[in-house]
Amino acid sequence: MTRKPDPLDHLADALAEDILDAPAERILAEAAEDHGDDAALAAAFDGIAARAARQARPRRLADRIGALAAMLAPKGAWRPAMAAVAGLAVIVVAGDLYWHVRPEIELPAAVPAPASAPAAAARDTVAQDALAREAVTKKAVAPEAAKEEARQEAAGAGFVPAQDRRADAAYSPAQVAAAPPPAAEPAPQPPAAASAPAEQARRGKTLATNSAPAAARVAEAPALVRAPVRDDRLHTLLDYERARTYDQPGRAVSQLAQPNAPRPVAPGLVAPLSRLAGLSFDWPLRGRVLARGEGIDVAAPSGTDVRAAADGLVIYAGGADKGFGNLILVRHRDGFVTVYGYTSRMLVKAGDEIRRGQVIAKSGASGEAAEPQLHFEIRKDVAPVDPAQYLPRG
Amino acid sequence: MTTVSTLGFATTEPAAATLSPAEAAVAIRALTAADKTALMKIARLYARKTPYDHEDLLQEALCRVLAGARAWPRHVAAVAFLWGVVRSIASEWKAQALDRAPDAVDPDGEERRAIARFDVAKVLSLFADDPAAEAIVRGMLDGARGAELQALSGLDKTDYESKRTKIRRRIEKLAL
Repeated sequence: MTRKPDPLDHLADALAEDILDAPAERILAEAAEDHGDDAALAAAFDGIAARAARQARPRRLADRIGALAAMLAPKGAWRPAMAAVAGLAVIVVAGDLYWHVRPEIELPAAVPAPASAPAAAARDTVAQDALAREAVTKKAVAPEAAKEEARQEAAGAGFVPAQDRRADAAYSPAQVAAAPPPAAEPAPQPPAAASAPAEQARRGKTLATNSAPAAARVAEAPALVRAPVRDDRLHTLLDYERARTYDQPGRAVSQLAQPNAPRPVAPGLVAPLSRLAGLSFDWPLRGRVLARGEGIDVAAPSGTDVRAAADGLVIYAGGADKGFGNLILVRHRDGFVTVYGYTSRMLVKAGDEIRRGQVIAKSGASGEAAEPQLHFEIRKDVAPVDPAQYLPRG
Repeated sequence: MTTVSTLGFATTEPAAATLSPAEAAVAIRALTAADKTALMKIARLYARKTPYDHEDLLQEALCRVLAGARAWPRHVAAVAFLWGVVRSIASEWKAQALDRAPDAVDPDGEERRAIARFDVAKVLSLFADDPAAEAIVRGMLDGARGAELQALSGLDKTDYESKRTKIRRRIEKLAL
């Protein structure tokens, strides 16, 4: 919408031209006449300019960081492709689950009432197994699965579904090295490959698990501790979704989510969903807050430990930015990036996976810092956010 | 006669089209007292119709220049460039204020016209005792410049220049 020119704007333009055309002596004399001192307005200008300079520095640096973060941000083009792959995975897993569950659902109607004694005994076994799945599973799992369980128990890391580990390994070169070779892992077997009791136990559990309401499944979580591989596909899928929130394939994202916490005890829906909840950050160091804006400047003696605010992946560590000196950018899940500037020494490098609380740098006064301090920012999808919303109070 | 300086910025670097923020900072530091005083007066003129005062306006202008948000063509003098930035930001702030106003859908609404008429009337009332000055001010409000204004006043060049100075001083004092 165009607005009519304001007559007073025309007047201001004309008067401004007069001011610029006026002799310097007259301008200063007018200032002396109005304010009692011909330097009064010039002094006021100097104060304004000083404030502007202080205000401009973080703006300029924020722009630079924004540009840097934008440059380091993954290209958007592969995200739709990842979403498509995720959608395809959902369809495949859901279809597979349905294919395996459907016969069990239809079984009561399909089996004729006068069953033979062995068949009736088998059905009884299935029912008993479904009711006491913990005991049945322990006794009836396939030998490969039993070996897998023993391996996991020996590792003392809680239950890690085999497919979970495969998923993690696919994202983590380090874990690929640590994980057993794929051949040793129990691949999902067709029903005919497993022993009959084991297969019946597994089917019984699959049917019970998938037909129960979500709340009941949560209540049954302890019983699912030793759930066989097929039940864990949802878990694997959630891990995959969680992995997708990280922008760099090839990273052990599930480990980044809860570094110090043990692996989930129950591979049901509860633990993975809780890990997908909001991300929180810790203060990288404590000290007097010098300035707040798009980030926080915290005073700290040189050499103070600067700790990672959350688990993440170092995407930049260098001194290319003259303003922030030694600068570290850490990408976290959900598109968050934290920024650590003015550091005297960087203890991590790009590509390092870091844990919450890990010392990643020493504070200092590099770049344009006037005194030893840390510049800390939290960005969401490149744009800075108010750190106070994510940091604990106090 | 010494006039308000127009800072020429010399550099030995390969010619870039615009000053870098660091060069802009040097150029601002190099302003004379008269330049700074003139810019303060100019900021006061343009801040009148914004929600902020002239110091805020000038600070924002300098901040944007120092942050590199405003490209400073190398051939443009400092005061002239900063005047343009101040004018631009004032216009931006005024537009934002209008957009936030309840009758933003009708920026030329009756109430706004009434306020504008009041402001114009207040300015014209300053020159009720001076028909020549009032004619010049009316011409300024209509966007007339230079020889056209002089013709409206019916004064010779010397008297016209003197009258314009008198007009400016009266309006400046109105805002003090």
